[in-house]
Amino acid sequence: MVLEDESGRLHIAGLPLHRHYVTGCILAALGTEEADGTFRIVATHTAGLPRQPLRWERDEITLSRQKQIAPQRERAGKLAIVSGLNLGAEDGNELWLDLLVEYLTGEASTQDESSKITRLVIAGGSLARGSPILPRDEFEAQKLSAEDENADEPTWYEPEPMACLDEFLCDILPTLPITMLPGARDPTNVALPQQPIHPTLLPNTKFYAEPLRESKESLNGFDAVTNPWVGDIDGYRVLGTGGQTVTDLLKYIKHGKSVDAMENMLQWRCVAPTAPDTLWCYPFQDKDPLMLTECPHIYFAGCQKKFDKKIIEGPAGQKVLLVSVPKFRLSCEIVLVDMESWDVEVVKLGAGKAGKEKRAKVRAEEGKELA
Amino acid sequence: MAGTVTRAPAKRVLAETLKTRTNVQASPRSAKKLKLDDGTDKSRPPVKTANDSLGSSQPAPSQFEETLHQMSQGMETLRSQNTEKDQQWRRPALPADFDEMTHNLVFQQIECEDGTINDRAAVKLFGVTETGHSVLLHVTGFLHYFYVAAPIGFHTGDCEQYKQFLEAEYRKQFQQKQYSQHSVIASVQMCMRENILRFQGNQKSPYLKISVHDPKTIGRVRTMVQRGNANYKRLWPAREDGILTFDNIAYVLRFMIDTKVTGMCWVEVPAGKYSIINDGRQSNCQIEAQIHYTDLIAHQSEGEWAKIAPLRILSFDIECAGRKGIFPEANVDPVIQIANVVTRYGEEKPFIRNVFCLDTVSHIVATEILSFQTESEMLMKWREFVEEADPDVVIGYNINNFDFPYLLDRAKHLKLQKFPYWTRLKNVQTKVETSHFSSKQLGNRDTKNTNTNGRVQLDLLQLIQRDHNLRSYTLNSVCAHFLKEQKEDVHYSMITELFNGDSNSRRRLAVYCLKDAYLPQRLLDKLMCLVNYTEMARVTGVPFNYLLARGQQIRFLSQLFRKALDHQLVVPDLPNRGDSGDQYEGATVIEPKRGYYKRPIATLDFASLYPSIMQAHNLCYTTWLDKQTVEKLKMKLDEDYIVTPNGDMFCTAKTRKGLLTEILEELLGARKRAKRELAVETDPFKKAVLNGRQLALKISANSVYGLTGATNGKLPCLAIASSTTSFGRQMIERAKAEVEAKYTIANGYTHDAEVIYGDTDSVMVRFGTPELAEAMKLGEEAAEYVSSKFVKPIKLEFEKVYFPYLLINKKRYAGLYWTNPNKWDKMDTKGIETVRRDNCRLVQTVIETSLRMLLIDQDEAGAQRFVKDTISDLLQNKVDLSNLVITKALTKKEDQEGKGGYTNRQAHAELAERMKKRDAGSAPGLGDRVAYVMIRSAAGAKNFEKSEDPIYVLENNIPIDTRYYLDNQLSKPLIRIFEPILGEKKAASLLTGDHTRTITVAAPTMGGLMKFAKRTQTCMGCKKPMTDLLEKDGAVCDNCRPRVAQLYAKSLAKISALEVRFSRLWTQCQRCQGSVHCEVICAARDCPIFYMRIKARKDVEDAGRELKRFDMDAAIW
Repeated sequence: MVLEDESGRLHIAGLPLHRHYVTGCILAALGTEEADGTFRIVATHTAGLPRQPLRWERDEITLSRQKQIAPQRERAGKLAIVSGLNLGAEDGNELWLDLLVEYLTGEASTQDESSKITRLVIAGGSLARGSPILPRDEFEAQKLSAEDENADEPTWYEPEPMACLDEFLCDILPTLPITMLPGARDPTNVALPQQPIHPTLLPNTKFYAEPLRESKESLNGFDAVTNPWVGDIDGYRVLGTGGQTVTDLLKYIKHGKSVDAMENMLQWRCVAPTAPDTLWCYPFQDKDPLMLTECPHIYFAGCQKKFDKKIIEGPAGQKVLLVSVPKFRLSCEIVLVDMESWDVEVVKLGAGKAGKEKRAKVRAEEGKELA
Repeated sequence: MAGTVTRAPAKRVLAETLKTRTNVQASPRSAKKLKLDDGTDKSRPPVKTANDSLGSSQPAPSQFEETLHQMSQGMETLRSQNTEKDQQWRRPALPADFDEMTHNLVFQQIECEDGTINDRAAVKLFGVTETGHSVLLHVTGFLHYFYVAAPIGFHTGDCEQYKQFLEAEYRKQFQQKQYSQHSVIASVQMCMRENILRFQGNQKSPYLKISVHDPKTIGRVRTMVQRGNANYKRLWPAREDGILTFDNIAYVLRFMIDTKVTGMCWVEVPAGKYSIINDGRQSNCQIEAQIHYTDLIAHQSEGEWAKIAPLRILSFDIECAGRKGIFPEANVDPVIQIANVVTRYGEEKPFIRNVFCLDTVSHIVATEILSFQTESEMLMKWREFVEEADPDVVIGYNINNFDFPYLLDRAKHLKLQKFPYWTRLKNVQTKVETSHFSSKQLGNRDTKNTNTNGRVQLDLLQLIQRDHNLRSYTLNSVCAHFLKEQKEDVHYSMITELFNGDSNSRRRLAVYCLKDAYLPQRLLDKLMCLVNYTEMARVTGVPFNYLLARGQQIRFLSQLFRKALDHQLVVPDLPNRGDSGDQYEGATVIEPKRGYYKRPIATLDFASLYPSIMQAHNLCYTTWLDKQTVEKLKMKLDEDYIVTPNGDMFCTAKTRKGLLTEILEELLGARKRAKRELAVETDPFKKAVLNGRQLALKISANSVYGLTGATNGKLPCLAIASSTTSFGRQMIERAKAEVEAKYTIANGYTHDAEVIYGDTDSVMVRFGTPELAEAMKLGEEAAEYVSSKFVKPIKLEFEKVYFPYLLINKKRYAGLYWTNPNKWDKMDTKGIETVRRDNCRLVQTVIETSLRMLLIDQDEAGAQRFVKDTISDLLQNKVDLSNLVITKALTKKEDQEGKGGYTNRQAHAELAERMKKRDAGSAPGLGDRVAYVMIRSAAGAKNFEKSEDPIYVLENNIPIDTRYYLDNQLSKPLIRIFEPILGEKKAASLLTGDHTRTITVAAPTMGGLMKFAKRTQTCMGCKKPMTDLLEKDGAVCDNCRPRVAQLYAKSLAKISALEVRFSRLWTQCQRCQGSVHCEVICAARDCPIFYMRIKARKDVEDAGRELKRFDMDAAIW
């Protein structure tokens, strides 16, 4: 095992680091250089959480530049996070989608509950097979059979799921603003950071968004963003990913929980430590956008196995809410985050006998897919 | 409700890392000192390899720096044995009680040279004792001599007078003005000897042995006698070609032969017989002594004395800061780093690892860094290091022709007068001499020799060029071949840049340099060069240095003289007639019956054919007869002598046993022993040694024949050579006849056997049976049967069966090689284009794959389909460019007067010229390997005009001349292979037909017509040119607008696939280089990954640009 910095590599002895770290972690190690040139580690330390900006910090700065006084801010509502809609999956059941739309637009539940929701975040996984190429684990298998296929026409492109997504977004958009992150199987490039889903693909939704060439700052309705993404919602710094980084990291850790992995990433100040080794990644020369320089308030990862949350606190008073968002397709769960109290609740849609069966079936299929 | 969103920063443009080196970050390291000897921690920490850890995603990397620090680990055990200390330069001190009266001096001598002590001639023996102390032993008293046949009427009493006569004649002729104290002639003795050439009737005649005091004068004395200028009493009859003298051999060899010292053998000097020299020492050795030659004991290299002393092996490499585009020149470009690795023979890890550097260099684990402010200081300290570390063997890669001369020239330029003293002798300066080495076996070669008296040199480059036939001899590809390990190839123009950076970039350079120094050592270990060459020196009896610096003849002569001495034979000093061009008929080749054989073909080989013929028929210098002798001695045919098929006469073993027969018996016997040991040995390393030894013995045995036939050699005897080949021809024909006569249907066999091909010493027999096992049985039987018809020890051996077998032509065939009926051993090919370097990789893969399909899978249709597919891919531009790259070294260059260039215009030289015009900095210089591809150009253009830099081709999308590759590269070898299988007509159809009709040509962005063309974007859907202002920058035209999502998706798929590809290649290169922090700077022209990476980078950029067009598309907003 080696430590590396710009000056070179150092073999390490002593503490077995692999229990706590994966390749690509940034850490400080205390130890001594042995006679044989190896480095015996006594203790290690991570960079820890970086500075956390104050709430509304970015707004305040902008306002003070413009010499304006901060307006009275109303109480923030709830943030709904959903991921893994898996449109275009085999079963073709869009019932859950309808339920989701109804819930979010307030048609299904009491007005009170849903009217508190002020924004929807789709944390990746919108399409079941949207990615232009298969994820890495399926890549090899596909390569073997690729010889037979006619490579000229992309066979993956199915317009229906995309149209379906388009329709879904259009249903919600009049009511709720949406932030959409691409995920592992969404139609965008595969190397991190993934670029926003292109408006060309969403012919109706795109009217809610701002033209690409103009402002990149504010948003009104629809906002397709990168993955991973850092932005401000209700003054809070929010870091979100489509989940690949966490899933990939968990491959190296036995019985790891998503939120723990996420916490570690914050501690290491690196969003995608396993890239580019097992995660496609773009080479950056001068600045690494996967590096954390400011501590977010909320960090969520989509497409995880199950819902989980955790609040961690840093030495300098940083307080971060970690949320792992399950796949909606499997769990029918939406995560609601109260942006004032940081209460996190899970709403399960369509609890019922039929629903359960359906879910079980979906799960079985998913299991097959994984196998 | 307001929300602010920031986007992730835009992707960077994938900058060419070769040009931008901005992100080498300076992280000041605390000036750590490497603690080496504290010895507080006795428990060695467990070494974790990266691979067994759960959390690591890296495969076990073969990283040099990781190995570096492991090296020092084994040192702890050594320390306890008090042999070598880690990083301690000096040799262990002599034991305090060492005394010439009580201690025997036993050492392995590694070099032998002539010299003087106290103005008397002496032989210097350099060596190392078993305890690792260096020794210089002056052996005195040995006088050089030669023989001349005593004339009729010369009596024993005339000796003294003749001696004085010679002395006087010498002084007269060479006008020695001042009478030196020493006389020239030491003695003249009469003794009974026999001429080695021609059978003398087993009778000795009187010869005069003339000894001289100073070996340097022997040449003059000999010529004097030869020319008849010292014709004592006119006893010698005047002859036109002078008087024949005998035993002309160098002093050192004469000494070694007479004292039975062989190269690299152990010698012993008994206590009390030698005297240690303390005052007036000539060398830096720990022990310097002198002894009379009669007291010297040489041990035969057997049993206990087969061991090898703990030699210190220094492997080093230098780096120079060259200028752009110019190969370093010693009077301009400074030496900036010298990396050294010193290993004791028998130990795995080097105990000294250091780098001498100019300017500061960051710390490297387990390595000593010596920083200097000036180059002079550095060079002088390095010289001191060499003297102190006192290596016995100096190795490196291309040290003879680059590193040594460069250092010396550089020192001369810097006026360092004390620098060129690397020898063990205090007063002998190290100099470079250019010598021309010419050998039939190796061709002509100009080499530079640097003297390091007392230290043996081994240049791994020369050694590998000699012993192995490779595609490329760069250190990188040699290592990839033998060690299965790539090293990053830093172009020398990069070196200056790294050097001008900070201490971290210089550290990177130092690591690179150190690796270059360590790799020769690893190659040496892997190829067992030192051991094999030591064995060779011992077998043939010549000093180690002769093995590399001289040809095969001297080895043979050394053996011949040794044997001659035992039998009191003298070797005539025949005047060298030069290559008279006398040719004799060589081996026979049975005309091949070409074809693709699907039945097993048994191969019967004569084991060591020529040596065994010489043994069987007693062919030798000493048994060679002429008519007169036969008549004079009244010899009987076939009883006392035989007549060979070409009419020469040799006497039988009954009359006299030949000297060569004896030598061959010894060599082949030793080989048999080695082979027997090889069969039972299990340790792969010892196996390699034994294999090396048996090969060395085989080569020695075979060279005996070759040297009798070398007409410009020392002792040519065409009668022997041509008799040998004539017997050989007879034997092949006879073997063929015997086999074909015996294995017939008439004799009760199922098929008539047929010999389909035979070459020199082997015949290929088709027994006709389809059964592999039966063919093997028949083969063995036939071998035995035919052997019984021949004189011993000639033996026909069954070795292998080829099944199936593709016989293309003489010396061109391929087959699947079986030695047991259950599993094939390998695919064997001869004379088929798989290793030639001026072919592109495509040819190699196509030929290999199709042969594999034909022979292993026996799938003819599949092989044809594969070839057709490949050709169609090639014509459609789907073949990766790296497969089409041809590399050639630029070895000659025109000087200003236009001299010294290539006589014909050659593709790579032309390209180098053109690249120089484009950018003198990055153009390949002399000695670089030029990589090129053939591009499509104007009709009728010469091939050399079509060459182009692959990177330039990639960047400008220049179309490849696929026809060239098909016609000039692929077609010939393919036709050759497929013709025997498919017949002429069908084979030709591989290269023409439907699959060749679809072609794709890339549209160039440079040159020719493109300069006048105006580029217009076309619609991504229907390729309609988009000239309309509205849609100009967009992606699709109005008509395709509804399909825009689909088209976008298509572009996306392309870019994603490319991103993945680039990512994979990038990580591959990162691993190879062993660091993920530094950008990849490797520019290895021979590495296919390099081109793939460059291409992937460009493709990603292009696709990204295409994707950007969607952002501009008017349809969207």
